[in-house]
Amino acid sequence: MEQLHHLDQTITPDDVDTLRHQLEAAIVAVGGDPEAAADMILALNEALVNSVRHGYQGQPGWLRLEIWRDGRSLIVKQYDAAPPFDPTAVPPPDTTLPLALRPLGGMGIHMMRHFTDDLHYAQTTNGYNELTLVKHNAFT
Amino acid sequence: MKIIVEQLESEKPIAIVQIQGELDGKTYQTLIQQVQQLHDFGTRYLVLDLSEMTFMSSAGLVGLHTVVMVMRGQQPPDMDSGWNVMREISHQVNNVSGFDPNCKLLQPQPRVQKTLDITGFSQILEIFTDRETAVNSF
Repeated sequence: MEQLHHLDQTITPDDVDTLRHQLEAAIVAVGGDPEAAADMILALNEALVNSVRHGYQGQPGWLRLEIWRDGRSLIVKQYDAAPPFDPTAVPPPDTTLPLALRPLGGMGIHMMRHFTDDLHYAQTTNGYNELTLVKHNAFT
Repeated sequence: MKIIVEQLESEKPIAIVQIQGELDGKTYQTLIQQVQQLHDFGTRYLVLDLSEMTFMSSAGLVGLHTVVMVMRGQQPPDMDSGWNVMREISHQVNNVSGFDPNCKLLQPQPRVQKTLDITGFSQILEIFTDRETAVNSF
């Protein structure tokens, strides 16, 4: 695996749009497929919003983002120091149900799952949330 | 984000609202306020022109849902409604067509179309590729 880009910064809800623009540009600049980059950014935006809005409750908080390449796969790792939250533990909606019968909540997490090929959560040894978003075939 | 409003001179009170740029957590309230103003001044049918909208997050979807509720004269939901958005809309769609009778979507870009599809919005809000057909659908 090769790390292509990383950043450490304090983030607030107002920073999310700037950050996603920066990351999309960074992915394309290192040769990432624009369509794959767009999907990754849709998913990552929801992860960032979860972190700043629910994790940090809108207050400034530390965030680290890393962009990796593993063969043809694009991997983005997001770290924050908010209270532990595992979005992958939220049950996926049963999309075979009629809309009126679907369970409440989780639209952003549904988008994260849909727009990535893999989504992993872990807690680091120092207690940070580590969310890994993977998009296959993102590099030619 | 920029919003361009065009009110049509027709028998029905129809407006076309073009959203330019990104509909997300930072901008969706602006859309809601604009549509609320239109409703206050009598607009009851809305075409949302998405041809210049380049990005839509889950907050943007809540914005779309809220617009639908506002056009019905109903209380908008809160940001955390999630799938409840779909429950509320789908309870009140036109029983014949399955689509909302007051709001139509026009020409979403592929990235936005994907989001509408995977969240089920495109099953509830009818999507048109040309403006005249969208307007004549009311």
